[in-house]
Amino acid sequence: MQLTAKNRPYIRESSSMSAISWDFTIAMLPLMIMSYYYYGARPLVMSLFCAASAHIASILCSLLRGKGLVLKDISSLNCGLMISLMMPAAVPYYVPIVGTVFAVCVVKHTLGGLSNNPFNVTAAGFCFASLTYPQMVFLYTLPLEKLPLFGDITAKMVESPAYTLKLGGMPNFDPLEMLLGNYPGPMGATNILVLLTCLLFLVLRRAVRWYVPATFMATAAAIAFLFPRISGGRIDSVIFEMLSGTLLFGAIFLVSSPYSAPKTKLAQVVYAAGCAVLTMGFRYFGAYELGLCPALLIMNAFSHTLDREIFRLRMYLKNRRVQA
Amino acid sequence: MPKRVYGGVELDQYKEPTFSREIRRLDKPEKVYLPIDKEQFSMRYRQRVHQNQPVCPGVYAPLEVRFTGLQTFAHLDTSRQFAVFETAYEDIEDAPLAPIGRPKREYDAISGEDVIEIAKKMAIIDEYDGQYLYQKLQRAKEAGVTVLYANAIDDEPYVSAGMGVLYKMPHEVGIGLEFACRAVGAKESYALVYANVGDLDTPLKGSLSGMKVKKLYGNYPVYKRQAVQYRSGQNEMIGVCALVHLYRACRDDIPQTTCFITVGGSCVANPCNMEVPIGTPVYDIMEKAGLIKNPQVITLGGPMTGVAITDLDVPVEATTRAVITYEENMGASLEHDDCIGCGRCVQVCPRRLMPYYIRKYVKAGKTEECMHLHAERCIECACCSFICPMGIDLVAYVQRYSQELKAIEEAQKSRAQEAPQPQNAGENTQTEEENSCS
Ligand code: SF4
Ligand code: SF4
Repeated sequence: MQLTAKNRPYIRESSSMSAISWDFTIAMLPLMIMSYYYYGARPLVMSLFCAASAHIASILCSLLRGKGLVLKDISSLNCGLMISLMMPAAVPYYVPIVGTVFAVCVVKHTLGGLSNNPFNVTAAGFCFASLTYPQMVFLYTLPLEKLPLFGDITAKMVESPAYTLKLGGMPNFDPLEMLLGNYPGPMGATNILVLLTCLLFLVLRRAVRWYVPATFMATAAAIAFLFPRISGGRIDSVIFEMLSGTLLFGAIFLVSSPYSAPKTKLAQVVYAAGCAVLTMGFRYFGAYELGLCPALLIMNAFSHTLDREIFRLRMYLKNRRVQA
Repeated sequence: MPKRVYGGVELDQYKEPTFSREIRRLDKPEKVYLPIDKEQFSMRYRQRVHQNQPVCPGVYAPLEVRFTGLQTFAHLDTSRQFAVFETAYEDIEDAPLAPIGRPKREYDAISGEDVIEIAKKMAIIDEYDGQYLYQKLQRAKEAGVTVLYANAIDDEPYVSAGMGVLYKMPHEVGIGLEFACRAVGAKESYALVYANVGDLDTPLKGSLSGMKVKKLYGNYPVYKRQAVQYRSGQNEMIGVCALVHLYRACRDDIPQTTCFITVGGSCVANPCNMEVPIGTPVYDIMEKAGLIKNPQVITLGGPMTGVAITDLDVPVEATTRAVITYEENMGASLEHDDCIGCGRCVQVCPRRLMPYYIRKYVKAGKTEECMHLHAERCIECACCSFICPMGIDLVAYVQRYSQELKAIEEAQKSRAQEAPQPQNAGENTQTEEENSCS
């Protein structure tokens, strides 16, 4: 009998690192299927390219950093998928790939690899891609129009409802159709019903804490209600702000991503609310309709401070209660 | 209605079949190892000691034994010395482990002071916290404790020694508790048991020979949380095994020479609760319970707070509550530790600490910069390490952090003494520990 000395505990929670990452991958599958339904095979190929380039880039970077061959870490792959899902289906393949490679090689691996990422890798990658090619990232084709796999896209390019909102106009889409994702927008982020199902799955798998997306959406809704951009009334404002752009997708896949977020519950709630305020701020006053990603990156910078100050406050209150 | 508590983890408890089985006895190991204080120990080679006689102050021979040498164990604290005794029954007919005779004393004639005196003389130790029972009783008496609890909170998986003793020997526990109440002057007494254990073959009764049982629910850790809550206040917990020993000591003048342990885990053929002489090596216990598979890891104590051993000669002690075997090696290690920042460790910590940040600072060697992390609040429940998807040994980091912090504080103190500043002296009081740890 060979006994080994190890440290406690001798039992473990069953979910491992790769299980958590796989949960996110699985949650994105229905979104990809919907994008296939609306735009044909092109989105799938794009996602595939992104995922593959992310994974290969990650493996190469790990090798370069002397960490050895890390095949199991699929978090970069998820990052590639998320970036591709936030892109319009008609965008040239190299745009999301540039974003992905930037995210993985520059943001993820130079800033500490798997661990210690101060910034949300996906948000950084998307920001980079959209700032480099703004004229391509924010123009969409109409759904249900199958796009060619390669070659020039001849379909008509239109702006998304998010852009119309930005101009102060009222998007002329039926909210019900918007729920189903039948409007021009990012290829994987428009189908609200499917997104909600993904959210449910992730919450049940405990990969996402429900209160983070809930706080985020609630704060964003409150802002849209209080300061409507469109003339159609407050309720319409809330509906269109909620349904357009990558708001819900971001709430589920970006804001809830725990890696660069604060770690304590209360700090996470504050963080989500802060993200919402900044996102709406970017939407209202920013140059592009890009709102969530830069907002997230800014809040990331405050993660640690939020945790620390909330912890300090809690300990202070505790001590005061004892002394009282 | 179970009170909601913060943090902790839900564990599969695996308390059957040990809990429902009768408590078995292990009578005669070949050797016993007793922990001794070298300064006070003076025995000749092969000197004979009779059962229940002292081998040195405060340590009693559990059996008829002969002294054969001294030993230390590498993975227990190496500064601790153990005396090795061979059992020697060649000149004695089979003697039972704990002779049950007629009561030697009238129960009513034993006063509270007597109880404390007896507990001191018989070296009874609370198996949950390792403190001497007489000290606990005395402290409780001075603090004016009004409610005493018989502690059978087995919140770790596999471990059911406390519950087993409570439910199989309620009479002994009850009288022991009565004695303890007499010593402390407590008005009320209850038994505490962890009831969030899923399916048990025998239901947990609400009252046992006149003793009311309070059932505790909630996530692991419960015992340690409760201990923090009772640290200052009108409540005190005493381990059920200590109470059984108190009862025996008061009745028959028998010192504490046995402990109650759970032998379990996936490799044991006959998992059960056992009463074994203190000092019995794990080897004999394994032999008695039988192994069906080769374990990778064996721990003294439960899976969350136990110590892994690599030597089957390691003895059980008064504070050992379980010997658990594991087929697979799931232990944490400090070698591979890539934190992914998922934050789970922070969210489960029942003391609201932030192990994630503690680890970060320790790794960066910046202990000094983060005095605000309050690692002294840690109760070492190991929830953080349990939940970590990367298998990082966070408890070890928290411990290391505490140690480094202590060293820094001491250095500061000695520096302050070298250059005394009268206006600052005495300001360095420590923050008080809070009553509740919600
Ligand atoms: S930091 Fe301490 S109290 Fe918190 S979970 Fe870890 S071991 Fe338990
Ligand atoms: S649980 Fe482990 S991986 Fe997650 S933040 Fe804590 S230390 Fe890092």
